Amino acid sequence: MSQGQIMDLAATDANRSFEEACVDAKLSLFARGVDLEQAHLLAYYPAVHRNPYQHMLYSAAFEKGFACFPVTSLEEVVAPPVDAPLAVHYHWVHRVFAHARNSREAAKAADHFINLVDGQKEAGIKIIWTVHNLLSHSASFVDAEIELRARLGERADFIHIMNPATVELCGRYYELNASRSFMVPHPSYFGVYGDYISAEQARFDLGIMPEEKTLLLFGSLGAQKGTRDFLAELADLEAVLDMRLRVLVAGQAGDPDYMEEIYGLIADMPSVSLFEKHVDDQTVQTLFRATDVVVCPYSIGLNSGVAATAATFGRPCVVPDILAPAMAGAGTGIVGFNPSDRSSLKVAIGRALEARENPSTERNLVQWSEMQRPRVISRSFFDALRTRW
Amino acid sequence: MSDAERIDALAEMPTRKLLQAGFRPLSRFAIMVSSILVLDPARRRKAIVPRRPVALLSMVKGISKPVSVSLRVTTGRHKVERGAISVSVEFFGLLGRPVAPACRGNRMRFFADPIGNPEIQALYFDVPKGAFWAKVTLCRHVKNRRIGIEGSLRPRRVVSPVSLSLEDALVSRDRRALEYHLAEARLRADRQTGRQVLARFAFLERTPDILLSYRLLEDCDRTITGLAREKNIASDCAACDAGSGYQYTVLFNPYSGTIALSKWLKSEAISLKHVAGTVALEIPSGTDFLLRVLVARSAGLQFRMPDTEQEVPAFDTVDIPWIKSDEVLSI
Repeated sequence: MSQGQIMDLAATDANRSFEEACVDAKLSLFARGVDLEQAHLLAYYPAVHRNPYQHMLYSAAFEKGFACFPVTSLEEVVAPPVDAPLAVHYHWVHRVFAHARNSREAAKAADHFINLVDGQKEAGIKIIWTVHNLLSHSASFVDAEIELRARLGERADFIHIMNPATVELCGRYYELNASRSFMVPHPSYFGVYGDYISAEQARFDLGIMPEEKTLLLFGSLGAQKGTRDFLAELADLEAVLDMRLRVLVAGQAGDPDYMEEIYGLIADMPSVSLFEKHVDDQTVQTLFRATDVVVCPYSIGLNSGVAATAATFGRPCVVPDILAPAMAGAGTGIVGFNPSDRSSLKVAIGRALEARENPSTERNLVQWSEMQRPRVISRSFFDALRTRW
Repeated sequence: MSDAERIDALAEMPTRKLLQAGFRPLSRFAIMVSSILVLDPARRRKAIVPRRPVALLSMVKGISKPVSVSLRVTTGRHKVERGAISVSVEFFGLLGRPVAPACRGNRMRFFADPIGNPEIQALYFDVPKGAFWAKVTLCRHVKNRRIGIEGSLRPRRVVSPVSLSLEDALVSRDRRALEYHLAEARLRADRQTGRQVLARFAFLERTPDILLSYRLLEDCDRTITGLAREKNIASDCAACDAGSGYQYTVLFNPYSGTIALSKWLKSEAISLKHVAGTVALEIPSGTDFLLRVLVARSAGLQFRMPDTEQEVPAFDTVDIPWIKSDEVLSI
């Protein structure tokens, strides 16, 4: 790579030390006119670049006196070399187990992580944790992850939740201190993805005929996402609804053994289209615009970027019951099902298809998405944080 | 232990199993010689596929029958690994000028089976006219794990006829046998068997042409069964006077068999109704007779067919893939 050539944002992040990022943050806030007493630094971990969530959540940072930057290694997080308060904001903490081969190694990785968090607290750094889910979708070491979450919950100064029922629901697995939690909902994807093609064009591009009812399962393919069970029940679903369905499954391929099961299931289903790769920001619109109903057949889920994306494109979405409160205000376009009662999923999809026929559904969803647009949610997030700091 | 060391450690376990099973890495000499395309790296040994692709040049001048490259592929994992290696073939003239491949596929990804029971897999291909040399390239596609092979990269003539029964073909990875049974099914317009074979193909490799073939077949099936289920929307017009209706003698748009039948029928029906309005049709025998009948049915128009039963067998029965003439005439 020649000098000056930037491959992607991650490459630029990696080229700056934590300490330099702190100094840059202070200088940038100063240049923005932020009073130095009001300036706050927020280092977030782990940085996820393909998912725009973090950029959305932090989109109003500078306007609110915060400078946010990713950290690639927690070991390098120390007291900042500038006179500004610093917080480390944790997101998908199950990444701690990425290289663990067994439960012993998972426990060891968790201990190491918590030691780092303790070190950060001793250095006067605030700890923020966004609880994205009860447990990660890809939880391999469930017991270790529950314990890790419990320990992080004890240490976190501020716990960001996006579903009002988070504290109660997490209580089944681990304690979250309600007094340290604050609720700011998941932003919509308004203005985030390309959104300029018509539904007719999108369906045409994908070879979907106008009369074909189309469902979309979007997001990385993994066992906890419920795709396998959904596909296994597709024939039953069609029988219950008495209609043929076109199904689009789009997302990064998961574990090879799991994918083998998916290949086996859909081999005899020519009406299922599998796009097993990361979907770029300009292609997201094609999939969502072409779709009648988005289905999130998850067994667990507190929040869903997929549901928020569906709402942004005005498409009804079927979600687990516990996820529905996180989409409050979206109207009849968000339809819940009970993950322990598979028949309720079929009923929910039928209701969502009916809702799709009603023009007010799309209007309400789009209205919700405008109200929850990233900049607005980001402002709420930083306001909530500042009042608690 | 660093991340890289952990990954290496994970990778070592299946490799050790391969070594215990008698697979050996190619020597530096073998890799060097294979780089000049004259040594078969897999010949008469259990070899571990090197990280970099290896290739072999073979003379194929004058071969008119299909040829194949057959290998057993093994992984140290306990489950089958999809697409662990690929074998591809390129053709060249005597002096190295590239020659375009024949229509049959010239690249295939092979599954790797667990140690002890690897299945023979083969890439079949036709030698194009003008080809003197064939360069067969073997490439590993899994990272951090070794893959073993047994067999030869040297193309061999395929002489024996397909001997696998349909039942055996449906659980095999033998594309040639599957192609054979698919062609047989198509000849008989046996959609059930066609679906089974295409489903197997789709499981092995979701190539666009397989998915398209499968979609078209399913569409045929749905269209015919759908029309047969419909309640007398368009009944025969026995009472029509001969010569009183629109003479539907020639299709407005040709049917190539490469688009979904249901879509083509709708498109043709739109054109037909545009011209004929709602008057009854007369569908005389002749080219594309069955298609014209289907169009009239799906357009919901009344129509009159030739009276004599003797005329029907004379109609072209192969103008609609996967559909028998009596199916059309009985709907």
